[in-house]
Amino acid sequence: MIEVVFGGAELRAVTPLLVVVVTAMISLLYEVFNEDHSDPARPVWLSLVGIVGGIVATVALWENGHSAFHGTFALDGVSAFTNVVCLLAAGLSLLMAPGYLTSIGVRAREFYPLVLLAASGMMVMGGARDLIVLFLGIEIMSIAAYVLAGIHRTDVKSGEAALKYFLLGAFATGFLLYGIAILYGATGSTGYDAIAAALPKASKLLVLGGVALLIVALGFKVSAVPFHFWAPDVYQGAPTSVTALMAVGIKAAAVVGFARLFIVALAPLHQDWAMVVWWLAVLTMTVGNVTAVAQNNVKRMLAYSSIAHAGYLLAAIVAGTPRGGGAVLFYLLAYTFMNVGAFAVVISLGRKGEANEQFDDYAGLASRQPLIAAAMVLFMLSLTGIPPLVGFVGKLYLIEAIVQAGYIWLAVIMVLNSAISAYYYLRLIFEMYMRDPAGPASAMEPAPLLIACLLLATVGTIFFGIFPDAPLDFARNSFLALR
Amino acid sequence: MNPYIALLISFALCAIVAGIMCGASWLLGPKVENKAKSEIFETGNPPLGSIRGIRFPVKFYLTAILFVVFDIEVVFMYPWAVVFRRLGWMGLGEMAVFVAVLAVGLAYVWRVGALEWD
Amino acid sequence: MPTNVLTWMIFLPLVGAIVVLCLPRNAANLIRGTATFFTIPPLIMAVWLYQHFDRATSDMQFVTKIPWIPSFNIQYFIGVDGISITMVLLTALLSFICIIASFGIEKAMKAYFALFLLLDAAMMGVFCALDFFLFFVFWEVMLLPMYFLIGIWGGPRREYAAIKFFLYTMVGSVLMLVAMLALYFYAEPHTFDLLELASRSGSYSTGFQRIAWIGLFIGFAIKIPAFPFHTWLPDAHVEAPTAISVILAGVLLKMGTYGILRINYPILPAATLDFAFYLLIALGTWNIVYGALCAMAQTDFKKLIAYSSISHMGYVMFGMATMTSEGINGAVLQMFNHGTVTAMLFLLVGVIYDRAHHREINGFGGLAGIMPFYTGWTALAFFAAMGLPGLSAFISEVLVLLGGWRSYPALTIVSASAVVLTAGYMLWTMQRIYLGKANEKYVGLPDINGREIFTLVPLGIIVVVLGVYPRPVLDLINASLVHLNQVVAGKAQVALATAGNMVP
Repeated sequence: MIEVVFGGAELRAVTPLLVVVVTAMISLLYEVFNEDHSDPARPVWLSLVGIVGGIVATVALWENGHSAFHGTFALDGVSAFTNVVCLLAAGLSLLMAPGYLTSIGVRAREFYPLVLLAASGMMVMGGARDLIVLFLGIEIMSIAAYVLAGIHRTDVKSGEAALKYFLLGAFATGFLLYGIAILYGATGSTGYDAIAAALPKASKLLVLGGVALLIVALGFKVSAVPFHFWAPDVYQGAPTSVTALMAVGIKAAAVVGFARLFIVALAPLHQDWAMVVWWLAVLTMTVGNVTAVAQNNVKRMLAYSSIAHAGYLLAAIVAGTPRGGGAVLFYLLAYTFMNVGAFAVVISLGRKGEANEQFDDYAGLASRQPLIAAAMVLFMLSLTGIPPLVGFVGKLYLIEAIVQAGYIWLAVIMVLNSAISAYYYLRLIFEMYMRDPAGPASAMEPAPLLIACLLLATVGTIFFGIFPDAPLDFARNSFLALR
Repeated sequence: MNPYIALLISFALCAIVAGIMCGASWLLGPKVENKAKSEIFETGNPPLGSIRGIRFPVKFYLTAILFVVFDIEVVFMYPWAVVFRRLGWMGLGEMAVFVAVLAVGLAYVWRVGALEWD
Repeated sequence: MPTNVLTWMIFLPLVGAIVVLCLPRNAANLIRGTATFFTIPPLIMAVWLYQHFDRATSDMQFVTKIPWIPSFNIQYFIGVDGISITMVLLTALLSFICIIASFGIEKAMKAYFALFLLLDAAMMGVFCALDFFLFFVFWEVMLLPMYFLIGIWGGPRREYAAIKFFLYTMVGSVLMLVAMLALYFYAEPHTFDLLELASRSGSYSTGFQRIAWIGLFIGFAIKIPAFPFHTWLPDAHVEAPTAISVILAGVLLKMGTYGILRINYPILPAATLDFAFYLLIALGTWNIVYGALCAMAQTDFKKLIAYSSISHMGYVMFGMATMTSEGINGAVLQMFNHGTVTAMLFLLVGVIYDRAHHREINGFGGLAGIMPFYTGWTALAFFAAMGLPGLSAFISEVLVLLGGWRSYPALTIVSASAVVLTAGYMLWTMQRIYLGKANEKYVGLPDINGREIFTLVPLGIIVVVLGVYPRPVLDLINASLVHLNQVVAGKAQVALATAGNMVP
């Protein structure tokens, strides 16, 4: 008799996932069986039920030290935090979608279930304690994301984005599998704990080869330099609500996957991989920031800025400490609010037929849409890392972890980088407040759901900037509990 | 003796048989070259253009990909069927979930009209 | 009121900013009135603070201490001592004056006054904060309103000036951030509490102190601005609207020197002693001479004042570096005096700019006959800036030089002779603008009006009174500064001694 393990622990681990996936399937069927498509916002409500349900289930069921399916998957503090961040990202992208999709002429109702499915993939990645499960999560998430990137079928750029994302994603998957195989060959296991235990006795050459391949594969997913070339094109080409999901949710899941793998499974090898990731982080943040300075398209600027932020996150992983992991988690939460907010503003400026994504299109926004401009200022400042906004606390926490682990130079490079980033974030503020509008622009009321999304992002950006304690403690403790 | 030897022998036999078939027909078959035969398409009509210009309706691709999707899923059932009894009720339940997910996909495909040829 | 007075002073303007934002856009007088209203209570509280400040102790007073982010051991910890009290008074006074001086702003005035009040709150916060993190938060919050105030309401090259100001300060503050975290980790248990950090200063190794000192110093030096980080200042001043120039020169520049006194001196005494003896004193002297020489070459009235600020801030650095009680007292007094004198100067430049719409020194002439009252006020301010005996700046400069004489006679002679340069460019400017043949174009210019005089009067009184009788300020600051001086000298000796012992 082969025992199929499915007890309380397993049920607990998959319940949040089940909530999200089942909602996705119900939503999918409901949309194809119901002929009445008059209200574009309707599918959002159903999907939001899944999002909220997933968050509630996560909050109710998580437990530090939890482990299920023979230790391959867990709903511990780290994965609970990831679940919340990813679901939040997905929820906010859903909120900004309906009006936007209508305005660009996308009628595909599959959008909403696909976002949920992508989110479920992210949740799997966050809880993965085994390379195979990590791989599964990446694939579940990525396949949905490929489709989402190309959901604007009549737009050439969207198609290009989808194809590029797919090809490079498939490429990265190849590296990932190869890396997993080599690591398995060297250590005899794919489970994180078993790998960590077997590393001291394993063949160093094989292990390092495997780790290098894993770094490449995950580097693709987090868009680290030099594996970032797809990111600007994909971010710019994909529909903006999808870009927000990719820049925030997918990045969050990939970074958590990265952090858990390297801080837990590969901890004994910290000496070896730290230097590689150090360079990766420095290159990523520097190239991201310097290139962002030269952009004239806001979406593309945000794409490069998101590369730079990936660099900051990697820098905290270099620390290799639970503190670094906690900092990463908190920063992801911070980044969710401020970056989704920025994309929501980008969406709110779009009109039928014109995206208004150039810097010039933002000229004089302060006089046309004072509240939206003010919100954008907030997000830009938070991304720069100005107190008392959440981006500052997040960055402080990252730097704190880096300094504590003794990587002073990395911290110095990082703060200099955020000074560079001030330039292009400020440039947008400058356009909005200190330039006159290029032409008479019609004042368009943003959709109510979009306003809700902006409001949530604004509140999050300010509130967690002033009272960061609860999530901060949670993030730190959950990584401490992994040891 | 290594148990995988048998597998290797099987591979080798396959290769040899295939090689013999192709090689023999190439060696033994009569070869008469003429103009009509070296045309790219032997229907009697003169060729109209490059063969690369031929287009299939996208319907073929759709059908093919649907076939692949559902076909591959069935592959999972073979190993399951082999150990079906030893998995017990839990195994049956899990397969039921799996099939249910597939059914959702099928229902979706049906409702969006992907199964209709025209 | 006693315990929370500082909190009120910080957050009332913030409340004011929010209230102003909620007012209707077109109610100009209502907006002006509300903004003014919210700067009056802090001013009254400042007077109260002045009366109730215990002059005999060097301890922190009016302290509030509440945990804020416990996981980082960050506190909302504010209080004042002799070093910060003068700055708090100056900020309260100048904020009030500048709000009144801003009544002429027409463009998007709601946003202007809201940002101004936000700036006010942040400045107050910087001077009251006793937790490094809190200090940094206020320091950064200040950046944003300043950026907008220069960038939106400034002159023709405002964008350039605004972004230059922002980037310079940003680079400085990120270095400060790293130094701050280094201090945080070096202290065991980790803390941002400035007093705690200072009390453990004996345990920091000299090498660490030097690195941290430099990081902090660059951040502060940009703000002072010390050569070679000064280039943002003339641009910012020239483009900024009058009231903002006043705040910039009157308050913001002081934050640099204040930060050094508040953080570098007590927390890193050994490094302070090292660097004061060559870096700080050299930069101070160089600032004095270089600023004066640059000022002499200017033809733009406002730029001239801006460079004179650089020169005068040099005296502050010089005084601090002497490590004598006269020098340090003189430095802090000079911070206060420069705040009032330079505020007057910028207000006066604003007066003429509002009328003539340019600031070319050579484009005027004979204004004394056309605007006699205005010329009288200018003469007072110019004489004060020159350091004429009987006016406030004289006392502080003399104290600084007296202190300097004991430790650095040669550099003191250089610095003292720069007074001649100052007198030179001030008098020459005076001559070109106010004396000589009246320029035909400006014959009909109206003289200084009541509102403008109202903004100048309190400053004028302070300049004259402190010139004759500086005790009111010196009494405030003396106890804390004497203590600081002893602490730095004493601790540095201990640190050097232990470091020496550790060498085998």
